[in-house]
Amino acid sequence: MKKLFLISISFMLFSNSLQACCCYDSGQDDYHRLHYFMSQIFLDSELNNLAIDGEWRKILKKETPYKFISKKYAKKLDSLYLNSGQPNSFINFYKNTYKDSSNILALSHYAGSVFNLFNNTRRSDSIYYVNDTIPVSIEFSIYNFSMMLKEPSMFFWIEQNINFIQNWYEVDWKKVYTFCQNKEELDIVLSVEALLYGVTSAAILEKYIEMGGDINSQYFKLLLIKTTAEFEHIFEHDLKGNRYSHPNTSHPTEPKLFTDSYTYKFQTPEILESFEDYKKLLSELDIKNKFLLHTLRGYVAFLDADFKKARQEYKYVEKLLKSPNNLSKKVKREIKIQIQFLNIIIDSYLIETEKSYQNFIKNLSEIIKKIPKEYIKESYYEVGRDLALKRKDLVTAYQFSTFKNKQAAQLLEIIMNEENLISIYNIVKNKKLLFPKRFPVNHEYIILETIALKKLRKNDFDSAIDYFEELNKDSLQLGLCQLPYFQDDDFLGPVHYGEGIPKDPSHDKLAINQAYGGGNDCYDWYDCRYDKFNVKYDTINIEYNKLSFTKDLKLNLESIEKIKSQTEITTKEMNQLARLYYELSCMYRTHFWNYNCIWGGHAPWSIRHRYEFSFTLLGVDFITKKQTEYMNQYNSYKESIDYLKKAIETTNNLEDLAKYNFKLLEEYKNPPRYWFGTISDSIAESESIIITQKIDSLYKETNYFKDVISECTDFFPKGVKIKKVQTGYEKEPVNIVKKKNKKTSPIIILLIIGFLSIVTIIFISKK
Amino acid sequence: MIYNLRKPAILKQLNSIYDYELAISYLKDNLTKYPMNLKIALPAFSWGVHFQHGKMKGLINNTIFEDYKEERFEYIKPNLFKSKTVFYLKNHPINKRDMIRYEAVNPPELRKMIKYLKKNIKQDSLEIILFSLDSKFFNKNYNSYEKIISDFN
Repeated sequence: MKKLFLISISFMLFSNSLQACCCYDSGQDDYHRLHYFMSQIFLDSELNNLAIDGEWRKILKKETPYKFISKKYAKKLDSLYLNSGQPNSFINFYKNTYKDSSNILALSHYAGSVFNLFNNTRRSDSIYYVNDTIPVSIEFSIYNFSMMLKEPSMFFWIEQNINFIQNWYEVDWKKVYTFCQNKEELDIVLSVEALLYGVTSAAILEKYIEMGGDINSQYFKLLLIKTTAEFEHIFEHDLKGNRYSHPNTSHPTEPKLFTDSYTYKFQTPEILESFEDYKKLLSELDIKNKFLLHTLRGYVAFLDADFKKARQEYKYVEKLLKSPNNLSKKVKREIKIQIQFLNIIIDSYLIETEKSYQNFIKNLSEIIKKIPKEYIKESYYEVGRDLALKRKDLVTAYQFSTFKNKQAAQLLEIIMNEENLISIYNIVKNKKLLFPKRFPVNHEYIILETIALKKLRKNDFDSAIDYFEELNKDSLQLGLCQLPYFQDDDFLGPVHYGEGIPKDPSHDKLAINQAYGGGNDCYDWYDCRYDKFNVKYDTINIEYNKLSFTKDLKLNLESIEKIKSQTEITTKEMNQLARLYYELSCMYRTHFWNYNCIWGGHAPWSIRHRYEFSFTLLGVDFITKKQTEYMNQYNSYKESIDYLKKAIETTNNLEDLAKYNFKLLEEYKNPPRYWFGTISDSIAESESIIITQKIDSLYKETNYFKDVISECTDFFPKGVKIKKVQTGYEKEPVNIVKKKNKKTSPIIILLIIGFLSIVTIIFISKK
Repeated sequence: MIYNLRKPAILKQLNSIYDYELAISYLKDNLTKYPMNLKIALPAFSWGVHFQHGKMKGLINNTIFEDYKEERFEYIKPNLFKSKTVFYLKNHPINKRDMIRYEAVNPPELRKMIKYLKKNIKQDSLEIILFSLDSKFFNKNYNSYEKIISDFN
C-alpha cells in the first residue's frame, strides 16, 4: 500500500520524461543449459517459470532493479540517492520509508549508500553507524546487496556490485553471515558467495553446507542444477560424439573439421577429479526432494556414461512415484515423462539393429509429443537427428531438424541426394512427417523446388521443367517458394495474406542480411529477385521466372546443338552460334544461380564452418565431398566465362569479337567477390593484360571499340600505347565494317544526285 | 616495453611476463633500424595466472611467491600451485583444484637485458622505466633493482 502511495506521489512530483536504464549486458557468455533435464519440474512454483529451458543464465538473467519499477519512481529514487549530499541521508530515508518493503531499487541504493559511507569515513577516527547497533562496513553493504537475490534475476547486478567492492577492499564473508537475521537470509548470502566463484564445484556446495546453509532451500537446488549443467557443458561434445557409449576408450578424437575450440572431457585431470567430487557429494547428499536427488544422480551417472547406474536411479524415481507422496497429478505425470525421456536418451547410445533403431525413432517421437509444450527444447529433437545422422539416415535426420537454424536447409540443399529429397517429398505429401508443425506451411513446395533446382543445376532440364510446372500449377508457388537459408521467423510464420499461403518470400531481405551490414555488389536486389529476375543482353532486358528461365536455357542449348549437328556451317550461322554462347554466358552470370548471396556473401566460409556440430557425425570425408559437390554445382560463374570464351572461339565477326572480348575483360577486371569459384587475383590480372593487348591490337578500328570500349578509360587510358600481341584463340578477321572513315565512290555520288534531281522535277511538275 | 611477451592464457609455459631469449628474438633485427630515440620499459612486477578447468580465469595482481606458499595450495612445479580448497585470495575467488601459475622476473635476467640494450642501442642516453614502482614484488626486490640500475649508470 505504502509502495503504491509513493508511486502516485512520485508521478505528481516528476511529470517530465526521464531515462532509466533497463537491461544491461556485459557480454558474459557462460550460457549453459541442461539438454535433457527438465529442471523446472523439480523447483517450487516461484522459480519454476524462471527455470524454463533449465538455463542457468535464464534463472539468473541479466536484469537491473529498474525493471521492477516505473521510470518516474526510479528517477525519484535515483535523485534521492545521487543528490542527497551525504550517503547517510539515503540510509536514513531508506530506514524510515522502505525498511520492511521489497523495493529492489531502493535496497540497491541503500547497499550502495552503506558502501559509500564506509568509503568516505574509513580514515575518520569516529565510528559511523547505519542504525543503533550496526557500524558501517563493506560487509553490511554486501549483505544488503545479497538480499536482492530474493529476486533471482538480480544476480548479475549483485555480482557486479560486490565485485566492485571486492576490487577495493578485502571482504570478510564470515562477518557478512553475522548480519543474517534468519535461515533464509543465510541461505541467500551463502548462495551469493557460491555463485561469485563462477563455476560451482562440490567444494563450494560443501562450504555452503558447512556454513549452515539449508540443503532443502530453493537456492541450494539451483546450485545443484547449475553444477550439473556446467558438467554437462564440459562433456557436451563427448555426449554427442560417436564413441560415448565406450567410456574406456582413450581420448575421443572427434573429427577435427569443426571442433578445434571445444573442451573435451579428458582435457585436464582436474575436470575429472572435480566431477568425481561432485558424484561423491550427490551420493552422500540427503535432501528431502528425493525425486530431484535421484534424477540428478542418474543424470550425472549418464554424463559419466555409466548407463547401468543411471537406469537404476531412474528406476528408483519411478518406484517413488508409485509409493504414496504429496505430488500433484500434473507433477507426477511430468516426472514420469522426464524419466521415460532420460531412459530413451540412454537407449539412443545402445541401438545396434535396424529394427531396434526403427522402434527407437517411433518411441522417441511419441515421447516428445507427450512432453508439455512449455518444456520442449530443441535438444530433445536433436537426439533423434543425431542418431539418424550416425546411421546416415538423412530422411529421418531431416524430420528431427528445424528451419529455425540452418540444420534443415543444409540437409536439403547440401547433404541430401535426389533420392532422399524424393523420399521426403513423398512423406510430406502423404502427411506422414513426424513433427509437421515444426516446418513451414509451404514445406511441400520448398522440397519440390529444391528437387527442381538440383535437376536444373545438373543440366537435367526436362525434369527441372516438370518439377517447376508442378509448382506452377498453384500459380503462387512458383514465385513464393524458396529455401529460408537465414533464420527468418517472419518467413516461417503463418499466413501473410490469403489462407494457406506463406508470406511473400523475403529473398531480398535474405540477400541483404549480411554480417557486415549495408549492401555490397553481391546482390542486385532490384533486378535479381529469385522468383522474378532479369537477364541483360546488351540493351535487351528479359524478365524471367524459374520456369521460363529453365525453358529458355534449354532452348538455347538445343539451338546450339542443332547448328553444330549440321555438316556445313555458314559464317552467318557461326556468328549466330557465338551469339547463343554469349546469351548462355549472360544467363549463367545472373544472380539466380548465386546462392552465395543468400548466405550473406559468406557461402564458402559458411558452408565449411557453420555446420551444425552434429553433422560431423556423418564423417569428415562425407561432408567434405558433399560441400565440394555443392560448390561445384553452384559455380555457374565459371560456366559463364567458359561460354564467353566459346563465343570468342566461334565467331569471325570483328564487332562481336570486340564485344565478347570486352565482356571477358570486364569479368577479369572486376571479378565478383562473393560467388563460388571466383577467379584468383593473379589469374584475373594476367588474363586481363592479355585481353587488353588483344583488343588494342585487333579491334581498335571496330565501331564497338569507338562507341563503347574507348569510353571506358579505366581499362583503356587515352594516349597510352599498348604493345601488340598475337591472338590466342580466335580466327583471322575477315570483314571490318568501317563507319567513320568510309570513302564513297564518285559514281555513286553522281547517281544519287541524278536520282534526287529526277524526283524533284517530278514533284514540281505534278504540283 | 619488454614485458608481457606471451599470452598468459597459454597453460603450458613458464612465464608470460618476461623471457630473455624471446625478448632478444623480437629485438635483434629491429633495434638498430628504429629511427627514433627509444625509452625502455622493464618489468618490476609479479602476478598469479589463475586457471580453472584448464582455461585462464583471471590474473591475481600484485601477489608475491610467499602468497602461494601456504597450506591451501598444493605445490606442483616451481611456479605452479593447485588449490586444495575454496577460498578468496586477495579478493579473488579460488575454487578447489584451480591452478595458479606464479609469474615474476628474475633480476639477473634483467641485468642481461640491460647489458644487451646498452650495447645495441646507439643513443647518447637511454631512459629506463620500471613497471611498477609500487608493486609488492619491486619493494621486495628493491635492492636487486637498485644494484642493476647503479651498475647501468
